[in-house]
Amino acid sequence: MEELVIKVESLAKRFFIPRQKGEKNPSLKWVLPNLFSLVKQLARGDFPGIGFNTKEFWALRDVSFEVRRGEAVGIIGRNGAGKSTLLKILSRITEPTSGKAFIQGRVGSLLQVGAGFHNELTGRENIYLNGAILGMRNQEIQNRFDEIVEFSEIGQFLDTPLKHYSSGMRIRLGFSIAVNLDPEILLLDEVFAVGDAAFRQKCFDRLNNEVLHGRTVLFVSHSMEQVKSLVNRCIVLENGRITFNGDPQTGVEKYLEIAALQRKVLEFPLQPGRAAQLDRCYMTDEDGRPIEATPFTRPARIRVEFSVRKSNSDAPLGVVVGFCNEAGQFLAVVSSDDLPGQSDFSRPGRYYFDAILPGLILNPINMIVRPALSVKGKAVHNHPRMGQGLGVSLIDPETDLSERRKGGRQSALLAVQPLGEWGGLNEDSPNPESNSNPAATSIFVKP
Amino acid sequence: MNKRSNTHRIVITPSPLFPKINFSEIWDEREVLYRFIWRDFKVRYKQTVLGYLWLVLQPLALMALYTLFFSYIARVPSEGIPYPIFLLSALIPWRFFSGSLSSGAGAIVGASGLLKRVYFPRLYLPISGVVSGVIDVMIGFLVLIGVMFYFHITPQLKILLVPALIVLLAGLSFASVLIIASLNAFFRDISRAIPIITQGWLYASPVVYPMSLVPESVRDLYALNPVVGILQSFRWATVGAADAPWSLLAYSTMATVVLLVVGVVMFRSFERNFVDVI
Repeated sequence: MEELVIKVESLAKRFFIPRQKGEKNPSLKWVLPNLFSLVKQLARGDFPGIGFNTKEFWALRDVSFEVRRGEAVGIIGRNGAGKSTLLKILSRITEPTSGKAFIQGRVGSLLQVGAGFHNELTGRENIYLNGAILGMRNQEIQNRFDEIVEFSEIGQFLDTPLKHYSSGMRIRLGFSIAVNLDPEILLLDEVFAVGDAAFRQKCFDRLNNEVLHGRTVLFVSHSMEQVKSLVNRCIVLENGRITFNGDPQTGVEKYLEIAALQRKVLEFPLQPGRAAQLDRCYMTDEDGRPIEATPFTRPARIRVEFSVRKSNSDAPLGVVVGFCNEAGQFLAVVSSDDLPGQSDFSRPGRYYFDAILPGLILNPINMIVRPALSVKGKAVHNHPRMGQGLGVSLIDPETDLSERRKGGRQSALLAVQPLGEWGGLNEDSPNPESNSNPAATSIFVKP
Repeated sequence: MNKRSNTHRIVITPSPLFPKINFSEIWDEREVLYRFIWRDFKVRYKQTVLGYLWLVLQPLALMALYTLFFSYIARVPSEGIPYPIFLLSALIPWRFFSGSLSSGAGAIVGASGLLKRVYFPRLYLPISGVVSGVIDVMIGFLVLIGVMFYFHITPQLKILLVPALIVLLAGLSFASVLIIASLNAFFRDISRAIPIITQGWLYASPVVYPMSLVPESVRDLYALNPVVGILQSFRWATVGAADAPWSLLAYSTMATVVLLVVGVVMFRSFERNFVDVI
């Protein structure tokens, strides 16, 4: 067994974020019994925590893990799961609120390429500046200077001020310095998401070779392909806690599972000040459970839950649900105002509205559903997370879409799925067993 | 990748209420500090025609301007010394101090990109700012000596005290930078107030006028300003105005030491939250 090089013990990190409007603030009565801790906070410079309009947010909670020499560990999780915070703590950029971490060996952390680049300095000067900031000795920079320049492919612009560089050139220069460093433990945060594809691959290959050379790597990425090809262990972070720590394949599956679950229900944050607000939006099956996909032959039922807090008889409230394709173009819009018989949401309470897209109208498609409340028939777009929409899919349980594409069935790629009928006009014509087009046939035969 | 080759074993924990200064780390990583200073100096006169000539031109031009208004028009007395050198002897150290006040506000906030992405001893930021100022001040005094020769005034032996006074002034400036930088990270009000404070401080210091002009009755109050003793000492050591202001100097030294302690404790204590608020 290789020796332990990183040991993290119940690490936690607290931030203070502004309270939402209308959330309860602590009253002055709270100040007196907490005077001592307030004074202590003042001395520590925890000013954001003192403000009455802030609340705690735990970016990391009880995070513990170990890394042995030569391991490449991937850290994955959704945005805001705490991945970057964890790397920032291990790079000593920010300190933990509680817990401990031990690191044995020289640490190199690359949270962003070209950190500390100065626009007015030339490429050459920036190599020296950035190299030093990243922890290289002057001598090391000199020894590797030619290699850095060659790797970066910036050649003749070496003595041009950085402000005249294109963004791609800056990234190349930054990477070239970074990959020429020589730490024992490497902390990488999502650094391969930038730059042109060829250069990115070149860096990735270089890194892959380094991993083979027995370096210890902690790697944050959203690219599951990179994670699978680079790491031999995977940590999944979810809301600041470790929910999985083990082999990469299972880790990636676990992550995708979490990501999918989160997509199934679109939840809107509480906005207590509003007269009415959206609460949740999801596609439901017959039993009212959220689902992510439904056969395109069956009705798709989108449920919008909303709350009405103040009566609003003079401004009739409605719900609008738009169905968009992945490019954001509207395919259909359903409005509660258009229903036969006026809907009445004027009294305070919680309501739902189901937008029903009948089966066999659209082809199998990935859709984005955009719900909104409307006043006098006009949609009100004042909800946070409104832009995200709810991702749902109409699927064809029979055939794979890609196979149809291979068969040249162009019509299957269009949005709408019309029906067709045929029959013989002569007495002796064969009678069709089924009277619809082939796509529909398969459906009617096996409902 | 910020490789910290001398710290082979790192322990990361929440820092104590009053963190100590990690002197060995500050020494080990000194190449980063050197690069910061080098960068500040390189960048300063990029895309200028006159370049480093500005180091000499600026004090001379200000000298001409101030002499015109305060000596020629306002007839401010200068204790029998030609006004230009009387002024320069205090203006050069004053500009160092006031420059530190205004650069201090940006020392942390202005480096947010770097602070959020790489680790290095945070004290390097204020240190590098003050060191850049020291270089200016030394060149400024060479200019002053040149101007003194122009007025046929030979520097006396006591001018050798100037380096020690520069150290003291740098200490006071460093303390101010620490306090201002720490507070400005949380309260940007500081950076808005600095120009006003600097302006007021200039009027409350013997730069453009001699201290003898200050009414006897308020002079004790006036001397509470720690800059007064330092400026008077500079003036005494260079152009030899009045008697040596020993007691003022002693007070300024004490005040500097106290402010340095306050500044360092404050900076080290607030440092933990810089990255989370900038």
